[in-house]
Amino acid sequence: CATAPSGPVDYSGRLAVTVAAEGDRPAQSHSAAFELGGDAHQGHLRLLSPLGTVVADASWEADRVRLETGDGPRDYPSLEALAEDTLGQAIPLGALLAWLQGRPWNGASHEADAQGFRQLGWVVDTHALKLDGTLLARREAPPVVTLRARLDH
Amino acid sequence: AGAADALRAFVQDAKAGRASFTQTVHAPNSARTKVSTGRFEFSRPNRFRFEYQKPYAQTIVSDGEKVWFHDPDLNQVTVRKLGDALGSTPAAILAGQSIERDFDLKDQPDQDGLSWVLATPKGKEGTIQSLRVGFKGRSLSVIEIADSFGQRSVLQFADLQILPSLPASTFHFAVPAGADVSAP
Repeated sequence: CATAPSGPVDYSGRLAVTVAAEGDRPAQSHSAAFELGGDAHQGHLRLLSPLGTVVADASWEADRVRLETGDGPRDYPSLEALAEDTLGQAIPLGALLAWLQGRPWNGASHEADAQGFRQLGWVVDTHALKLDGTLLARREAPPVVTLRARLDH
Repeated sequence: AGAADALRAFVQDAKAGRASFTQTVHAPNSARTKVSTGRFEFSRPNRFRFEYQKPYAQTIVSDGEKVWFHDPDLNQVTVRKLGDALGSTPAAILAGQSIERDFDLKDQPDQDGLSWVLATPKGKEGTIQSLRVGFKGRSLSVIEIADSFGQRSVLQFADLQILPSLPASTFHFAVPAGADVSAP
């Protein structure tokens, strides 16, 4: 039984990622409920089905990320490598932790804009986070990736 | 006792139906639970509609070929081929036709006024380890899902109506205007 340590949950909600079509690769979309705890250095992210069962569980510390799914554990050097392998795109999951708190990640430069800020080639709209817990992030460079998160109250 | 027979009879005789449900998810080594409520309809083979209403709306519809998942808050519609999506989920109990092919069934002691059967998926894909199905007499009452992470999800049914059939239109999903639809 692959019971991963499920530490304190700081954020829970729903996440949808859409990757635009590119060449002969069709558009992709993934969505799941999530539970997130810790920070970019040490933490865990759990993806859940609508039924409440765990679809995937990632835990990380220093430079090792372990992903547990139904078919055994896999290790990655970084969260971005994990995102690249599972979603086909190097989504900055480490930065996402800060974005969900409505602020830029302190690991890279950023420029403020009306709705939030730009960072790592993403336009991050945090204005609705306080209203209804919605975060919208969009990577402009093709294939365009759209990430929508909705935090539970 | 005799829940395995009740389950076989349910899969055999309950061609279609509807009910409301309460879903309570228990996380391992924590008191954290998450409760959702909604309604569902099913029609064998392979058609079902799960409409979660609280705490937020989400809809899962299978027309027997494809499975649509809609989250209005995220304005997202995901479409997957049904394939073996039934697999070892409760939908296999509700809309499947070959319970013996997909699960090993084992009667369990009565508990909480229900008779129980443990249904262990024969296929090894996915993270669902087992389902426990509870019957009040011949009436389906509870499905408990245990996954390999120690997460436990309990689906309690109410106002279960068994019907001879339901129209195919019940399991048609109309994509809302402006929703972002993606099919891998």
